[in-house]
Amino acid sequence: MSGADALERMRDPSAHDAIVAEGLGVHYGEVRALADVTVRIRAGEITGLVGVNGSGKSSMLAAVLERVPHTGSVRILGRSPAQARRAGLVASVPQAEAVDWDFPVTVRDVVTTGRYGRMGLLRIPRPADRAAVAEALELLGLAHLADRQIGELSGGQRKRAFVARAIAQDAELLLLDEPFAGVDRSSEAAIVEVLQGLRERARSVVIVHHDLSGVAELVDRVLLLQRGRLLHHGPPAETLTPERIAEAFGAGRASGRVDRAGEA
Amino acid sequence: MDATLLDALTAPFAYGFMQRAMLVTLVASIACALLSTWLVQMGWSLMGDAVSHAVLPGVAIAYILGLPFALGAAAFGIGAVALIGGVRAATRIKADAAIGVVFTTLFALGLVIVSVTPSDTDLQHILFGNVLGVSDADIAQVLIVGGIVCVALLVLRRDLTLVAFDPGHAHAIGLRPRLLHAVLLGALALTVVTALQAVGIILVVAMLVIPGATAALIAVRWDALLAWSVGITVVAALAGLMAAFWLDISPGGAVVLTQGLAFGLALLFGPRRGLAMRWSRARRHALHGG
Repeated sequence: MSGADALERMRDPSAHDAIVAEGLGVHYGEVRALADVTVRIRAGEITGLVGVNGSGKSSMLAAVLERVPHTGSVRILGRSPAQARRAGLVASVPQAEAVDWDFPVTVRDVVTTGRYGRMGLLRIPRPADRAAVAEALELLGLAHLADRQIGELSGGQRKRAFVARAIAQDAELLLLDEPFAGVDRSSEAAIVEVLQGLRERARSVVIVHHDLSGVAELVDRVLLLQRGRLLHHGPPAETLTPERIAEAFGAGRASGRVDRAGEA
Repeated sequence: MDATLLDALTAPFAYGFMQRAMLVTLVASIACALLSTWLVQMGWSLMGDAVSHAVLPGVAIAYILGLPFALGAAAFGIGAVALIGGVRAATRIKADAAIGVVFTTLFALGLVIVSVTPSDTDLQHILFGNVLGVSDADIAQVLIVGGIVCVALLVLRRDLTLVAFDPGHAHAIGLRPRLLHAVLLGALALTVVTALQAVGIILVVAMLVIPGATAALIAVRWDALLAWSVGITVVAALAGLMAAFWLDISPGGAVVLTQGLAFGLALLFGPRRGLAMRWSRARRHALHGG
């Protein structure tokens, strides 16, 4: 019986994928935010989720984490999303708009929450937790700002703090929502370096990105979304053709997009 | 210390009723102070207002049936929260409107129930508190319920804070934000039970909002926030009851008024967002700029 289980697991190809989504859909009331997305996102790669605002990128992240009700199925690293979350395999970096920057927490507090899954009920950090937090702060160049209230940091430093939290968590899969929005160049470079370091250690990274700047250089694969549908999935050179970019991002006029969507 | 001042501070506690009032007020204040840090940071202050008013019918029914107030209050407090959620889900009206409809309706129901009960002296006590005349049973209730709330909040404080700050991350690492929200709302219903003994239903919301709002003007770390919130509330309880004793004024009113005073001081002189601090900072900038 257990032998058969093991065999089944070996045969299950989803174990080698970061995310396997089948027929994934998200509806907010009457509004369809994501429709029937079937895709395999490979482990050990950096994947960009690209499209205009409202194309379904954030909905897809939310559905993968099961933060919103969805149709279809998701597997994360061969497990159910709930199993993956409880095992601490998934880290999420929120977009800046989703955070209350006035909240009474320090940078170190924020990074320490990355370790909560490994702590006891009272969430008292052990020496290993403190070391991991210190290391993550160091890696993102925030050690000297560790005791500042989170809102006292610049946009780039804030984003680095949340990436540091994901590093402290030591997750297998990182989901980042607009990690480069409102971020200065040096912070962007620091974050890119960390993400590339994760890829070298066979970790999986999914980045939500609302424009195309820098995407082709950073990511291994692009998932191009338009109006909640998967337009194309592949390496940047193959996916980001002028025609597809025009289709996903429109010719700059809303009317053009509406017409195209009508055809689809 | 001046002997007369010392006498003035200790004399009230020669009376049993003052000792009991102090005990009830302190326990209720501390439970409220802890809870208020989360309510304020999560933007749930109105929820505190709602639940504190919505318990009135529960308290009235418990009074008629001779049951402990806590039972009726908890049932209606939790019921009100569920009803607010239900109204929102069923009608999609905005949260503040759903809260406004549910709590005022329940409060009105309470007034009607009270109006048909033979004695209405206790209504005054429920609405405005009767801390100088609490019974042994009331004290036992406050200690048990308040104690449970304090322990639960302190044990779960880091998870509650994470859920308040970043529910997405909390969810992603396997915590259950909805369950923790439910814990907070349950604690709210129970805390209201203790606080209405101290200051009455009308002023409970003050105890649930002012300490957390005051501490937020001072502290930048959560544990410091909790400490300031509790510290302010303890000082306000002591000072308020003392004023009530010597000036012969409403104890609930005096306690809340002292809290309000503390908020005013923090607003003026708080290190985080105090007006004095902002003014001097602006002045420094102006000097450097010029």
